[in-house]
Amino acid sequence: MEKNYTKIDFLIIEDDFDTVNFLKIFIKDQGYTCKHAGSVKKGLEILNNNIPSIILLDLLLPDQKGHEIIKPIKANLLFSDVLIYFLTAIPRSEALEIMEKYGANGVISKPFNLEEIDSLFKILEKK
Amino acid sequence: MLDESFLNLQITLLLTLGTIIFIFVSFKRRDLIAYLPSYIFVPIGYLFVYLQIYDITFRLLGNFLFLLGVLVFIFAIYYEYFKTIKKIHRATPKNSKILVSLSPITSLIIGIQTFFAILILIAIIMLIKLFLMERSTIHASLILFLTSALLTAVSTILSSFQLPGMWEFSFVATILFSASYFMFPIIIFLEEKLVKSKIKVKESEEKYRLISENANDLIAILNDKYEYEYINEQAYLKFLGYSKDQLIGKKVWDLVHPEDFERIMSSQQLSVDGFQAVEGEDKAELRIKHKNGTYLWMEYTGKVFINSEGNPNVITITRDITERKKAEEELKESEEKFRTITEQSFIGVIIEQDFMLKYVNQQFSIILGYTSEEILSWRLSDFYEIIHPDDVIRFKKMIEDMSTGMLDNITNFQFRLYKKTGEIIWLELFSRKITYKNGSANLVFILDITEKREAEQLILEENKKLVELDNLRKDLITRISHELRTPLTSMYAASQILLRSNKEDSIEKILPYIEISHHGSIRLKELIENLLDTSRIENKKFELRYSNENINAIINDCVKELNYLADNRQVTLNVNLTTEVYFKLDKNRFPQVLINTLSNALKNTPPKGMVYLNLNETNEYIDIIIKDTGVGLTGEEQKKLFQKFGKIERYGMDLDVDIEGAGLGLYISKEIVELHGGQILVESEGRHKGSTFIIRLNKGVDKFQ
Repeated sequence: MEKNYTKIDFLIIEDDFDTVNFLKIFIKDQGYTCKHAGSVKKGLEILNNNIPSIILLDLLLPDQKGHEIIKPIKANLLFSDVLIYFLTAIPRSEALEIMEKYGANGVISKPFNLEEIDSLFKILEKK
Repeated sequence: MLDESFLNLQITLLLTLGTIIFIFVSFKRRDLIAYLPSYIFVPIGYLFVYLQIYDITFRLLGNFLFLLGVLVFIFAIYYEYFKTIKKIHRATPKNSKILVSLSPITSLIIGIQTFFAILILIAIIMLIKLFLMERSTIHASLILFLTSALLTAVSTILSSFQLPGMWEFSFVATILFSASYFMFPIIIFLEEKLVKSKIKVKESEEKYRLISENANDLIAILNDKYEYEYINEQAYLKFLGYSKDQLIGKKVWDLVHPEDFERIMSSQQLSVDGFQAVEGEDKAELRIKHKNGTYLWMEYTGKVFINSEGNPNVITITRDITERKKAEEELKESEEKFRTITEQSFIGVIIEQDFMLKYVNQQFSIILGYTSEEILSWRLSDFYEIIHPDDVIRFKKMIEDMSTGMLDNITNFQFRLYKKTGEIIWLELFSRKITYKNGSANLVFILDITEKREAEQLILEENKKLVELDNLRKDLITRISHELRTPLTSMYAASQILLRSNKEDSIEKILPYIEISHHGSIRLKELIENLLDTSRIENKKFELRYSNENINAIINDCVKELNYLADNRQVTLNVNLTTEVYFKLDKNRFPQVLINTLSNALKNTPPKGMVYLNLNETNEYIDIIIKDTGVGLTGEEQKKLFQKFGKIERYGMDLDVDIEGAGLGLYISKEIVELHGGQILVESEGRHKGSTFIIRLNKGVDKFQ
């Protein structure tokens, strides 16, 4: 069964309204596309027909822990190139541990510097 | 004239009779066997000499045999003397004289003479015996025998010279000899029967006297008037200081302590004047007066006997038991001390042997609530009945290990047990192996540790609570830092954009970032205020100032403030107030409750929904009822609602609701209402069925008390 997937630049899985709001405006201002989900469940729904280049993933989400989405993503060959970055307010050391354990690409700690998001844009340009 | 042959026959018969008697005696006295040859030779020799066989060879042979017999006899006597008699009688006869008078002899009275000669012999023996002062009868007869033998020998030799009168002399000597010869075994026999037994009695008397005099016990004989008849003086002098003449004839009661006298008199039903012969022994402990006036503890044994005069006497043996009495007293004291220690102890003490309890102290029965008699009648297995079911397996195993010898000592064994009252108590058991009445037993100590266990339990519970609190605190810090970081993120990010912007950037471009930043700062401000309130509530520093306020006015102010939110969310706010209501409340804090509940209702109601606010006054209460048509609350959610950080997460539920906030608002609201003496009630029939919050103020509560 062939599915039609839309390629997008960012998928933000994050429950804080203000942060999402900021990122959406900022990313669009920079000329990239993005979609947003407030929970793991919603995030997986979006992944049903979108292939993002980068996923910004909050770890404390209302329904599940954010890192639990990694396994189903990695299991799908379509998403083999997807970069996953944690976007989290939990202590950095804890986030790094989870990153190593579940195999994410980086950690962006809240509150973050804009340069960190800028470096993601650079990665997208190289692609 | 004497008929020689007749006389010779008489003498021969006499000698033969002597031989027969001797043989008879020697059956019983085998030690006399040395005399036997003499008793054979002498009669034969006499026969050869005198039986009118005038052959010279026979006469010489007869004389030889006769003399040999006499010599053997003498030898045997000396043999016997050295061998036996010497042992008993050390004295030998000294200066012994025998008086033998010659008298005219007629043929008619030969037989009578012989008879009298025997009587005279016995008399002479008695005389010699007297003369020799209780020395042996045998010695007396020996002297007589030797003398008569010598006379016989001399007269026989002389008679052969045919001298005038010599025959008569020889004849008398021969009769004397043969009589003494005949008497000898009889005397020995009598000696054996009479003298020796007398010596034996004397010996045994002496023995007893020696024992009595040298004994360390006081030995006395009392007559039937309790008067001293005999005492062993040495012992009496040594122990009591009295000599014989001080006691003999005195009454024994003069020496006995008056108390003991009373006691003995009443217990043995004795009469003071005297006693009757009774069977058996009598024993008592009593104090006897020393000559120096002090009393000594003595134990006496008395036995009644009938003396030679037929009166009852009592022989008493008395022993000094002062030391023993002292030791007994000390033992009793120490026993009492240990008994007191065990009996008064807070520890239950048990001695267990062969699965039976041999001893339990008072405390043990106090701990269990059963009497000692009840407990002592149980077997060890009966204890299983009153041990808590959860501990009985452990307990049985312990008993098993003890009985198989796997365990000798037990320490700190804790278990539960049912008291007689049914109450459960915690006990701690210590046990060790001991030897009791020559067998292996266990000495067991039992401590009631119920209070200790309860305290421990309390400490454990408190500790658990503290750990929980500590976890909660850690959790809270993480939570708060997370909650603070979240609004900060958007503010910080937005402010960085603004810093990057330049004059050429349009206001339209930067305005969203300003709004984001502003919104974040409001959230942060509210969050910090809420955190401060929470902290104040928890530290009981949340103080309210009451004044009489118009609730209608307050509600209107709040509604005015929230109209923009209602418009934003496209929710219709329907306020329905009746007559004006006044109540004593904090005019700064109470509106916080209204804004919180009202904004919650607006945020949790999807667009096009309704929120109603009604004010309802009864005699008892003032109810502010906020009802919405929103997402409603499940049972679980209702429970969590008023807890700290009890924010109900709405993500992933497909609910179009606002989800801001840390979950402190309702917690603070509830506290505020409760401080006003009221309560917040919540009702909801479930998901999508709307919710109703009732802020109920109790009119009866006087907040100034």
